[in-house]
Amino acid sequence: MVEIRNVKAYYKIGADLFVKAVDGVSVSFETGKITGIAGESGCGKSTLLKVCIGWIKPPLSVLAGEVIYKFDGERVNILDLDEDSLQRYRWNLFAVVPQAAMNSLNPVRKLKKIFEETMRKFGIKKLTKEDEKTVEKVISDVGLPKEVLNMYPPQLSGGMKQRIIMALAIIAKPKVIFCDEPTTGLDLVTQKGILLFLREIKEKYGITIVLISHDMGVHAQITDNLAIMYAGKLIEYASTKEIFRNPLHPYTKALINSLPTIGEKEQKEKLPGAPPPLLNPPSGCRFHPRCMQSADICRKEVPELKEVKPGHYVACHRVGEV
Amino acid sequence: MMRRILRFFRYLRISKSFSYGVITLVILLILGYVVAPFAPYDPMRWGKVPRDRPPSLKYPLGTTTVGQDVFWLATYAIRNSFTLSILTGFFSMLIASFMGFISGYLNEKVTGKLTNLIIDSFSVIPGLPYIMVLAFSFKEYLNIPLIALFLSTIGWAWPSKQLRSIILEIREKTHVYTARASGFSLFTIFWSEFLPYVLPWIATTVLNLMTWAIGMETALGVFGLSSMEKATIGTTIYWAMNYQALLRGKWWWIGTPIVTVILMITSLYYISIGLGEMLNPRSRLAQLRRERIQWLKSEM
Amino acid sequence: MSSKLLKVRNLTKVFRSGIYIGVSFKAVDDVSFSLDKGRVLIVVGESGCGKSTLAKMILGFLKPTSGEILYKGKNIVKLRGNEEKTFRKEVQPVFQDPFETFNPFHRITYYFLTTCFKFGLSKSKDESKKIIDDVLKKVGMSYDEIDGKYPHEFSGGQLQRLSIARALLATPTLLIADEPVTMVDASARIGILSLFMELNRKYDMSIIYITHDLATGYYLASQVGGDMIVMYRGDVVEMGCAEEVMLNPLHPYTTMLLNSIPEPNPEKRWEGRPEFPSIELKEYRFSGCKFSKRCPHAFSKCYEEKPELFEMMNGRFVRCWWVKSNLKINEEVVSR
Repeated sequence: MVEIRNVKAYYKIGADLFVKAVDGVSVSFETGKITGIAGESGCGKSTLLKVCIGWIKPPLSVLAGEVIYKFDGERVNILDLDEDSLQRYRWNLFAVVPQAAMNSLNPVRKLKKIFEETMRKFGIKKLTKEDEKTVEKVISDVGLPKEVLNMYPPQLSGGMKQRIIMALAIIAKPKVIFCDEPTTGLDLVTQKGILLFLREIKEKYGITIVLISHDMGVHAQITDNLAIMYAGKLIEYASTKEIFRNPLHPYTKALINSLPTIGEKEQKEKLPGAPPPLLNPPSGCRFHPRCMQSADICRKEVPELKEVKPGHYVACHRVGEV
Repeated sequence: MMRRILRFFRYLRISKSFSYGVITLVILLILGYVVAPFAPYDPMRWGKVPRDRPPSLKYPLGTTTVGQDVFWLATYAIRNSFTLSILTGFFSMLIASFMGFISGYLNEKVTGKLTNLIIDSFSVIPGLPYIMVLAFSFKEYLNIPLIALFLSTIGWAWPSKQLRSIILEIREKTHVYTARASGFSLFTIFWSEFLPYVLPWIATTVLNLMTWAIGMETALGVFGLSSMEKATIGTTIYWAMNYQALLRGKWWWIGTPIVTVILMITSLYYISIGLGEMLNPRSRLAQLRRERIQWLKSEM
Repeated sequence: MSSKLLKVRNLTKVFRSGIYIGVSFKAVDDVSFSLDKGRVLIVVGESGCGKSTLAKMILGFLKPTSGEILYKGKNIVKLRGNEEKTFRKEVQPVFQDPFETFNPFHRITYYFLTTCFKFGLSKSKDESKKIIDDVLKKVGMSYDEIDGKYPHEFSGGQLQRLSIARALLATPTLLIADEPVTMVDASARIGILSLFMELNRKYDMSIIYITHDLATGYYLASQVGGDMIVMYRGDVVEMGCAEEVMLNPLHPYTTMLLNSIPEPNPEKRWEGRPEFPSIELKEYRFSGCKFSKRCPHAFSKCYEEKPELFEMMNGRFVRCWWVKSNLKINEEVVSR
């Protein structure tokens, strides 16, 4: 559905200084499936999202690469489009649920009006009865009662607001939805609801979903494929089941091992150190300063993303050697 | 400190209205405080110069019907009005800071509720009639500091309401709780936790209070209730009206104080707007973030 | 003299809700529990269940509407002078948002140095620096690392450590951690939790750990033991030994929470349709059991009468008619 080829997106913060947020990332998001992007904060996943939706404003600039959407027999490179063409595709080709989106709801607008304004954005001038019915249906799909349309955002809790954002995202029936940490800060029950909701719309409408989260538990539960990012690079990609069954990259292994689970009593190992600054990342493999298994070559050469098993890609020099 | 000064000059370049404000104010202040002491005679004394002369080279702003030089009168008026406004601004802000902070920060306790009651009671007192009654009652004792004091007794009310709402919001910030848990005293909390957010408001409000004070004094003067022996904007207008200056075509006598007060108020207004933008806490945080980038650079 | 460090009795806090709806609701409704020295208490519940309000009251930042909080036997609302100062030193918070914990306008060291000064921990700046350095070492950092830096120069995980260090300066007896790892990256969480564990084990520090994330709560409980309280809309619905509550939950809400944890195991995925909680405010003012509308086991009594907190076997408390009636049936079976 969406193919990202060798994208390099940097933030320019000085004459010669770039924060290399996305440094040569290639990945594809399978149609009709949920792909997760995992990684700590500062690994570049939010920047990757911005590139995917064409939201590239200075100081961010894309130095290389393509982001290709394939749908209805067409191939469109988002990065080639100008603002007007992008506008046409927003909401009906792809929709975005940015981080902390629930805080961006206009607090002095009734929710009904917010929906109307959004629908106007993709061409509907006046709302017909049918449109109103669509809105009501989408509201009930996220488990909210009709009365909520007459309320104002500050009257709702965080979980409810996030559900409204989800409803807004799917109302134009987009083909791809990008979610950046959609459940961070929400309580467990609401989180489960939203995640199951995403799974349901994938199954019912065949929407491709890209889910960004630092919580591996979230990925394990609903994503079909999983991409792990570290310091601006994609370091592992496979189906979710494969990643958890058989993590190959040392970082992935450490990430999975550091998750507390109910019922397990062993003391967990924490990962030493901190993610590197993207302004001046380590040479060679960016993980090598923290890696238990790093060797000389890890310091010198940047590892390529290789298909080590069918469908399982890893960027590590020492795969299979430990 | 250095970067604040640099920011000031940069803003001066960017904003035309701000530069107008600053330049006009500087000129007025120079006239009022630097030039005025050079007056060859007390401008209020009658009969020092020929009467009713229109503006000329010798008397750049003309002379009044009672033989005063309008130019020197104006410089004294500027000085007195400014002194009055600065004193009012200072005292009002002092009271407002105290009352606003206490009523906002301690709003769950009795002290807070009591101060809030006092604030609300004072804020509904109608300004002009109140001042007029005060001024009339103490007519013999009126001088610039006293008028400033009177004005301060109600000038503080509305600003403290504003401050209270600012305080109520900042009070819930996590770092304020951190400070409380760290044993900070009430005053320390105000100084270190609240002040950085409140400073731009203080700057703008002091300027607004100054503008208000000038306006009130002018109103008092027009009614003859100001400090009549001193040259102020208000008293000048009063005397000019008293001698029917406009009717008799002596436009320079009444025109000068009017233009002066307009210049004073507009310059203070534009400065207050500019300062508000410059001292905006959000832009200061952005400045800190820029400094972080500098730090990142230095780490390379 | 009671050995209980903290005793909370019938604590209630009523708020008048703001602009749109002018009614009052009980954020904390008749909560009672006690905490021994050196024990860990885990408070679990959704956002909006009253746990943060509870924390603020225990810290003395909010006055309770009714009920009392006894620290070392004394009612904290009535403390004055030196006793109040001691309380302030001994009960320290760790807040949820590490980025908001420190004033962005001041350097980080400002807080540490001023705290030393305000609590009279040292007499000179050099002595303060030494004390601060010692405390920073406990959290895995050093004074040199933080000297001259502003809060925005640190990551979330580092800031949270600094926040804990600040709390440790006054050598507290009770640490109240309000969702300390929620805003920290998943990979850094274990580090912070290990820190809490060490503080409890090495320094016998009592900790009240508030969270909505059961997984980290369970992890802490499994490593250091401790009790657990589950809160729902201001009520305590289950209370008992943490491990037992997690492995053998009685209240339907606890079970629901446990089922909502996203387990990092793709082989064991959730089934079923999305289920969402309803509009909260209505639930707060309900006269029956507040959870009844979402409860799969609710019957008529649940909607009419609010259940009491019943004591089950050995220290386990549950607020549920269904559980109580089940247990009665079991008792009858046993006694026959």
